[in-house]
Amino acid sequence: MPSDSVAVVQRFGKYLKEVPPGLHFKLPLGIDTATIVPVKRQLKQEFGFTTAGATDLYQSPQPRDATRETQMVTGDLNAALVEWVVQYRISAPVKFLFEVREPSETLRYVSESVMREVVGDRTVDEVITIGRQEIESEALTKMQTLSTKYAMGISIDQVQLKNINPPQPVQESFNEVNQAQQEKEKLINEARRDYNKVIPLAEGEKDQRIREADGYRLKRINEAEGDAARFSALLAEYRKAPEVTRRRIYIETLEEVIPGVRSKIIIDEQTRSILPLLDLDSQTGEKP
Amino acid sequence: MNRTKQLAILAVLGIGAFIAMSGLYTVSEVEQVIITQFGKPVGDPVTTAGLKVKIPFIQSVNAIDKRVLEWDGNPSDMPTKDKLYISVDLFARWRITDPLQYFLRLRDERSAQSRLDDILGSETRNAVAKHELIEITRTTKDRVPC
Repeated sequence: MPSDSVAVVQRFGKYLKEVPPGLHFKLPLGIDTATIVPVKRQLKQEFGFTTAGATDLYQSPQPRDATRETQMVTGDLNAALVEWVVQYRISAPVKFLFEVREPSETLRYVSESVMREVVGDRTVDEVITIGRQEIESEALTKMQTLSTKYAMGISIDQVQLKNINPPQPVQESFNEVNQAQQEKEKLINEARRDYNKVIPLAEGEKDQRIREADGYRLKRINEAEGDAARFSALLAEYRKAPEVTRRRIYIETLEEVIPGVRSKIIIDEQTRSILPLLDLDSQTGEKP
Repeated sequence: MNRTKQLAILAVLGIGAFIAMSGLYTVSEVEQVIITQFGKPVGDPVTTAGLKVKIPFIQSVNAIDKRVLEWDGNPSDMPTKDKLYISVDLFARWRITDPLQYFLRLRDERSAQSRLDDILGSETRNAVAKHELIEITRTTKDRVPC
């Protein structure tokens, strides 16, 4: 008996024992029958594609099923072509032989049904791109639950998604959409770069202007307050001695004003006209 | 004289062996057996495997599978509640729980399969027609694809 298998021996059809690899004897004449089950071999089933040279009849899809079983409907009612592989082992040879008539075929159906269920709960974007890992692990647990329920004696080791494509007629448009999305990203990035170039500069300028204006405001306020204080002080002085103060203000003002005037003509207070002419006529009141 | 005697003994032994053989039968792990006497079922169905005894010639053995059996429907088009035609491929697994009834009513597996075709086919149509496509696609209607 090969080393990757155990044999299940039946005496008169009744299950007798399970024997390990090596040389063994059984009773002849149809009293004992031995069925060899490869328990240690890693078995697999392919969905949607075929590896040539398989000895297991159920490893690859039937030619008429190959495209049918990949066509799936996703949760947002889009179509996708899903290819996957299930790796399994026969964990309980007695169950594998006696509980289900066609365990391998049953596993194929279970796997297909579970995959449809899992894919049907997700959007096409998830199925094609980000959700693969999740689909694999969820399908694995669901398949294991079902094969335990059917008591098939099979343990599922791995579920691996292969190619997932949009359906053939959609493929081209799908690529175009992808390109357009990349284009969009690019444009957004470019715009963002331009934005980064211009906006911080403007922000800085804005801040600077605000600070300047603030400074100016402060200066004006201080000046005005100073003026007001000076005026109040003046007013108090004026109240105390109006005549003197008025005169002082007059002089101080002139002191300020006169240096700014280019030509100064100082005229006697008593003169009545520009020229100091002794106008005798006007005194007599007669016209020449 | 001696020769005739030997022959007679041999013949008797042969017939005896033949009768003994036809009085014995084996039941495999994967099947259960209903014993019929002139076509009428007698006794309880034999469900344990091993070597069994019956009355020779009079009783005959009818083996019925004990495993989970397959049923595979052909893909067929049927309308959903929102009047979309979808192609539904159905498979089912079944086992015989009451061998006596099975034996009386269906006799063999071919007729059982054709009954299942009818029952499952029409029930599927009913179920599909009661639901919208989105409900059939997802596990539950309310579940938003994440």
